[in-house]
Amino acid sequence: MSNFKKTSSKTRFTYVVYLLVAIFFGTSPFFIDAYFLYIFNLIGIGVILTIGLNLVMGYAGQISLSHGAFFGMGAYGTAILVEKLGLSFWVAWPLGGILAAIIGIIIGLPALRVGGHYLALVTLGANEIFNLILIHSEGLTEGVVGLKVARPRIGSFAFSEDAYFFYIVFITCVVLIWVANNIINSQFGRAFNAIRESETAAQAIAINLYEYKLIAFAISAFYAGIAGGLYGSLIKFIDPTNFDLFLSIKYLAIVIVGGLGSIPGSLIGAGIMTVLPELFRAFGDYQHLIYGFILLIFVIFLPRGIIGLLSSLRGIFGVKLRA
Amino acid sequence: MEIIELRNVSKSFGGKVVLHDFDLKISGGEIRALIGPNGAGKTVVLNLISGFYKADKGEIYFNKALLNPKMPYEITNLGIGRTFQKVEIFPSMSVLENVLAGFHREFKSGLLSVSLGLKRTKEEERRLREEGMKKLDFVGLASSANELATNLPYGKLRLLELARALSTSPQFIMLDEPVAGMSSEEIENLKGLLYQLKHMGITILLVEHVMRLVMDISHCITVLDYGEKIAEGSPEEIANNEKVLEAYLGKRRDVKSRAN
Amino acid sequence: MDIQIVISGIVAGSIYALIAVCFVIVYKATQVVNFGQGEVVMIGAYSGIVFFSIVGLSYSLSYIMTILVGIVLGVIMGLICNMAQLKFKVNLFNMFIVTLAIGFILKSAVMLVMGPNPYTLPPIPGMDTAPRKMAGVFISPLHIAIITIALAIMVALALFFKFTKIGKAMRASSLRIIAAKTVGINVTFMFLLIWIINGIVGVNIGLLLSPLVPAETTMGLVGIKAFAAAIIGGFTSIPGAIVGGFILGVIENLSGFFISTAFKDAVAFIILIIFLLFRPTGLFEKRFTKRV
Repeated sequence: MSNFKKTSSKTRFTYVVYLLVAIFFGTSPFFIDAYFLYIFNLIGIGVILTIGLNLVMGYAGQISLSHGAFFGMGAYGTAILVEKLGLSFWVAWPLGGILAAIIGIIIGLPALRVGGHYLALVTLGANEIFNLILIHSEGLTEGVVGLKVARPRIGSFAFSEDAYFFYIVFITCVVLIWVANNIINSQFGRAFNAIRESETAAQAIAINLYEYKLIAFAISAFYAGIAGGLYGSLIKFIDPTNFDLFLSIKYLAIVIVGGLGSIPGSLIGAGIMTVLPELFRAFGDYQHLIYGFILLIFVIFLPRGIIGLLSSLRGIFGVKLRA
Repeated sequence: MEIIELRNVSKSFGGKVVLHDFDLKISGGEIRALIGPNGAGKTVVLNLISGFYKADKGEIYFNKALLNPKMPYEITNLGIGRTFQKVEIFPSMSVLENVLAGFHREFKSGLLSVSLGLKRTKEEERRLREEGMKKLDFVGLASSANELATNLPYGKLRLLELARALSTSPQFIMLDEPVAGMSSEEIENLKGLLYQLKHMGITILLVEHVMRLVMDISHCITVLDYGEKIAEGSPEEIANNEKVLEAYLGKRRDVKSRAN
Repeated sequence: MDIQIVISGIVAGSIYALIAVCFVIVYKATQVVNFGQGEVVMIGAYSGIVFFSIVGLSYSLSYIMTILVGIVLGVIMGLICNMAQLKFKVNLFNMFIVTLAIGFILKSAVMLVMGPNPYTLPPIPGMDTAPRKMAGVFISPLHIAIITIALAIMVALALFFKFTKIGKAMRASSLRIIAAKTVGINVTFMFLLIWIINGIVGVNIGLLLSPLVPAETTMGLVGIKAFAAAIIGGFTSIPGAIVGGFILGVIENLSGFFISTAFKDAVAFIILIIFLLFRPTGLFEKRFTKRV
């Protein structure tokens, strides 16, 4: 009985923290300047991508190095539907997410038949192939020249101000975090955990491994696609180099730094890893080096990420790392 | 009525034969024990029935329908549950969640309904939790429901595995050394649970080394040695079977002489 | 069909084969899949060019200096991986991320120091690389030199692993190596040695590449392609990796000629994906069932 109480107060604490964070970010456009607003926009987009990646890596336990491709599919998908087909952003954007999910399934169908190193290699290969397709489909994507993207509009009102755009990002973040939470605390979440912790036992309780890995992959790709659609509109110009292997590795690092399989971890990881290179903005190209070192240090010394570190230092987030 | 039938089933790994021309017939409602010295091939049989191994030769039938070469999850879906020799619970989830995971067969809500937190899903989740607590009650773990599964002592982990296997609503359940590492009291407890399962109409295949349990509870015992069936019969018949004694004693003598 | 294509394929193949062999020897000795090998090759290429055309050393001296760089790189990678694997008990899968990160750091470092523009190796005095007719085919002595040196390295490695005591110990699975500890072989030293060998061979491959293609920070991609070669060979056999390398090189060049150059880049990945799906244990090995 006392254990139940402990869980309850931990959950209460978590909700309060979430609420405070939400209030802070929700009201931020009123008290921060344009530069930070831009950063916050990036963080929000990063959070969406990270949570999606965490679903497939931290929960279902499958590595993916193809998230650059899903992110790119969302960005290019949305941009092309708007710029070339004249669709409204509000239709093109979710479609971009769905397109990304479809790519996720296409890549997952072959990729998820294998695991571990092989899966990493296949997803990496798929990312490279997608990148090549982006570069060579000039008719559609303008190739290496890049594509201009407009900000979304409702009627005559355009979200050209970063502050207004931020609310789109913020609301999407909140909604998608809530959705992720619902999934994780459901039978789907339990199935993903089962697959990660014991494929043998998972099969023995009638879980079709392949099917559920695909589902995790598709959800994850959808998240990345939604993030991609927002990203394209935010930075107003995309080219294939935004969506290459570096991106996949960057988010691998973020997920590990934050803490695999933890939503607070995804928030922290995305936050830190977006802010950090900005601190070194003056030294622009050092970004890549920094990501590399952080990934190396964390994977050796702090494999459970910052959340893991916090949970060892204090009992606050509880022994349970998930959600 | 035969619920499980194995006909001429053989399996080898890289040239080494681990099961040879094995026949097995288990009737509905029976408690069958499968015994034999280490390495005799007992777990191989379980793995073959549950689909983790594919038989090289022979057929496996469940309720007269051919089982091989189906995938393990399909086989569980047909109504066969099992536990494992090496405990395979899910460490990051709570005791209750481990059992809830087992309700996978029953879970009806789709991804959309779950994502949006629809009432229908909340209802189903609530119902499953109730069912899950009943399973935990059955094995006596209800008080540990919200504890992290890894915090449980070994004996209770095995009970958790049993509870989880039961949540798949099996018609036929296979237990691989369920009392390994348990105290006498815990063994008695499990014996009681197995009797209750039999009364609920569940057929049981028990792989075990603890002879006391095997002799007390089984209707029929099948004995394996070096991948071959060497005897089959009632507990009395097996206890007095020369070949069986030789298989076990022979092993012990071998081990002793090598140790010297 | 132009035999030139096949010869280019063989040249490319010898490079892929060598890299694939590096993967296999590190994997067999330490069970680590070394994702950073492409970047080691890249460093070799840059190193040769820097010493030769920037510092102004003779070609031979540049070669030697590059080998030294390779040794240093091998020591560094070996120390990091040793520490991670043996002291911090990083699991094998995360070790893969470790090597990925190392490769990434190397790539970023070179990008910072040398910039994104490609560096071409200037012509080497005394080396006449003009193609001439040999056995009815137009072939450049450069290509012959590359294939020969590559084969020589492969033979040297094969001899090392087959006949020296250390080599034989390394051929065993790592579990047996850990057991070998009790027989007096220092595991840490052996792991370090394999990484040093990996570094030396790696930079050598870069040197072999530099007359063929300009040195760029994206050169590491060749390492990823070589994965396909290693997997064709089953990832655990050196001869398999060599065969895989040549197969990859030839198929790649043939596709480039018959289909398109854009497709050529994708070929390695497509082969990789096909093999991983249908024949992950390679062309030569039997399938294994997972024991439950």
